[in-house]
Amino acid sequence: MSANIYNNPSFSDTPFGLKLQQTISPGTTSVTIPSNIKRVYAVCIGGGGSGGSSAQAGGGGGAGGFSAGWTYAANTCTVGSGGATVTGGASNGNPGGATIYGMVIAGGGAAGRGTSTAVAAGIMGGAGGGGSVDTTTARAGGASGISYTGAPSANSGTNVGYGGGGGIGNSGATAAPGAGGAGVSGGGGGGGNSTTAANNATGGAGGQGLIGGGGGSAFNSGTSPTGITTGGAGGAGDKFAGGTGSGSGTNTVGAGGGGGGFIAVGGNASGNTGGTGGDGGGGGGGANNSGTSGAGGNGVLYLYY
Amino acid sequence: MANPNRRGQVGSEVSTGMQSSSVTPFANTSFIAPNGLQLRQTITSSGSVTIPAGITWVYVIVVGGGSGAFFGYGGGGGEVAWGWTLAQNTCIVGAGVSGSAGGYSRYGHIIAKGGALTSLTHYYGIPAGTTVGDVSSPGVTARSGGPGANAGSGGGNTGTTNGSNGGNGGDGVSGGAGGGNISAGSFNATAGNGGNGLVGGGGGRISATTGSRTGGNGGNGLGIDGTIYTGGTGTTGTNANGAGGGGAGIAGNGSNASGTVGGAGGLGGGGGGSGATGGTGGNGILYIYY
Repeated sequence: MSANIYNNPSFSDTPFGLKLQQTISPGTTSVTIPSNIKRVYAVCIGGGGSGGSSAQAGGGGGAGGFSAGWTYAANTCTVGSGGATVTGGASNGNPGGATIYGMVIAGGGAAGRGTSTAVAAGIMGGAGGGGSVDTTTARAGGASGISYTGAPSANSGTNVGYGGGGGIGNSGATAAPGAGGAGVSGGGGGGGNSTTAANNATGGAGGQGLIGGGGGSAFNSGTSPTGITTGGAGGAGDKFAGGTGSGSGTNTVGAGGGGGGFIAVGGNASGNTGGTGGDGGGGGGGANNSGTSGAGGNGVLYLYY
Repeated sequence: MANPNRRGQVGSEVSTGMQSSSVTPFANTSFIAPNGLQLRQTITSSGSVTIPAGITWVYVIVVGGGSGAFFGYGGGGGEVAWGWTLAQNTCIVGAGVSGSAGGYSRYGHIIAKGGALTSLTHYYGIPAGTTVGDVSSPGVTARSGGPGANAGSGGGNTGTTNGSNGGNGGDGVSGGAGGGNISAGSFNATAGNGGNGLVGGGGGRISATTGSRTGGNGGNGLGIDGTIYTGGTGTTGTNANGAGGGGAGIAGNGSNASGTVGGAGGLGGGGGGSGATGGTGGNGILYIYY
């Protein structure tokens, strides 16, 4: 090979052959790059959104965004944490934090819904959070954010996108909430409520993707309910599985599982507590029956040079 | 930052290296198919992927499934997205469908949506072409769809006089669907051709007039090795004719229409041709280089 990057202006730089040199977690803000390295290839993953907590059924959180590209070497960074849990039955979840290094940025996943107040869309590739439901009213989830590359947002619903849309909640005799939209980052599943006491209800599954969204939760608002409420499974990531929703009971179970992250599996739900999103941006599971939602998985920053 | 596989600045420092003796990353100057890298895998269905140990980055070209035909329109070509991504052991390859949007394809963080009647912004933020929709243009040809990475579909014409033709699909990376005319009456009309691109759109149909019906041809496609794939032809005649040809995919020709049956889209996202029985879109495809 006679040409190299120092004398060949047509060189198209690629990450091929680069080595992973640093893996950085939330809380670290200082980065040390060897002085002879002026540019690095960064992979940024935002934190996952946490699920919502509803007196009936909250939605799952959206998965964090994924962005990759060249940037100048910087000595600072921001790595997004997963959205914190919420509890008590009347709270939307929290969005995940953005991960930023130099010119590369990935947004956090959107929060899952738990109230009548709409949740904000995901940011910079972050997926939408799932919608919720009360005894009579189904609520939409959130949209995803436009990606770092410029890929468009996906609206609430089981819509595919770079970041998937958040599933829509549903209330009726037969609960049929929407799953989170699939994509690079999966949307959160919607919450589902059955108004017929004997009918089972299942929350919407989190959207699958490179990173999975959190599952929605389930409830039965019938009089003296007997139907089984089962939380939606967390969306599967390419590398790690999502957690399972809790089931085998009526309203004392039914929370959603956490979405599979880029680094770890999503947590299983337990009782009315949603599963934690897997680290590497997995969305947290939604909580039912005023339980505690699952936190979003933490983001991460990988540096190659 | 629209394209992370951009050229570097002259003299900028970067540490890189060779992962095998058969690869020449220093010569990677081509945009869509990296010069020097080798095409290692061509995948046509979802499932597991095996990447050799030690290969952490791969370059992929991902094509969504082609759209089936809608009403008088053909199907839009599947989106084409490309770029470097971390090696993964699974993939999704979208199927071509009948009567609705095609399935998406994804490998790592490179995702391409399936073709649709209404085009969308591209993976890299490139604007979509204008979708014309139904128009009443008696005696004239409806407007063509706008060019774009995901090009727009041509106009469907509701006119009922001779020459009330459908508009052609827009050209682009992925061609738009051709428009048609499904109004009843006694007039002669020609449907719009599918747009050309790496992936072709499907041709529209003329289906209810008792006059002469000519279906639109499918748009042409262009393979990763430079092969030109051709769209299928529409049918011409009266009554049991007027269906559109299937658009070519990035890896195969579109099928010809037959009677009132639209042609299927070619492999690699070709849009289906419109017909009383609409053609199915071509399946998506995934190319992996390393």
